[in-house]
Amino acid sequence: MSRTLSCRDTTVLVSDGRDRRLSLEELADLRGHLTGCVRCQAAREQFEILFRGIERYLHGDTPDAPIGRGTDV
Amino acid sequence: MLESPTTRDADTESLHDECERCRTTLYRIALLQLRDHDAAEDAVQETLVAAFAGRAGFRGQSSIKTWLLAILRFKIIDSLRERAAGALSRGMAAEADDGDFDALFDDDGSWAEPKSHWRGPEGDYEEIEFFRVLETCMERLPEATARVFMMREFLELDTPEICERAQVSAGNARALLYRARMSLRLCLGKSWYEGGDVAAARTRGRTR
Repeated sequence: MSRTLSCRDTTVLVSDGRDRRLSLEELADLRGHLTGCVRCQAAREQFEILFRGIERYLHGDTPDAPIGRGTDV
Repeated sequence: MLESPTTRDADTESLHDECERCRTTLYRIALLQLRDHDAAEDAVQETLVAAFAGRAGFRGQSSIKTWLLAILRFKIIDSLRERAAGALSRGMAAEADDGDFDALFDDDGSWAEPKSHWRGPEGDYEEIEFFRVLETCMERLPEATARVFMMREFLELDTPEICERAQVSAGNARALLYRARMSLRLCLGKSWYEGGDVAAARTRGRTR
């Protein structure tokens, strides 16, 4: 069980986790909070969809628009 | 073995077409990073010229768009190095304030926003719309936020490198990255998943 993480704190850690390796303590706190919080589980899934989208967009792994030139995404 | 001239011409022509088709994407991504029309145009032009000069090295393991974006990444990293052009303007501290997200949470930091469930886009048609929405959301980020975000997610610089190039503290870099991701999640939720109804978002996308 997490000691003091709020939902807002978990969003900060999820963001930090893309920029640095989280400490074992942070990971344990995060896991503890996520286990008992359906709202944060949903938010985490949303962030995963967002992060995957950003990666694909910035690496050109996107479908081409069917018509016209210069309209691919 | 020598290629026949016919084959080479056909390849060159198809590469040319592909490059032209990717030009808009390259420009939009360059603009997110550089925030300057001329600089973005220059970076794209240099990228396409470099792609043509090095076209023999393209092995087709990735798509041409992916290959061009990799070249653009190197071009922009070089340009930040040469001109020390990464430094952020004033107004950066205001952007680093996360007060905008207060409404999402209660006083104790629990979620206060309405519950919503997302699923990833499926199929080419949904994906095209999804990436259009994401692109628009990224273009709406404030300047300093967008530049730091792109340094991290596109140029793949680490935080110390970002602090050096953008002339920001580690705390501000962290706050801007957080702001970017929270804003994008919010924007994607409103523009794409509003009410969890992807179909409605698609209709809006078509009629916009």
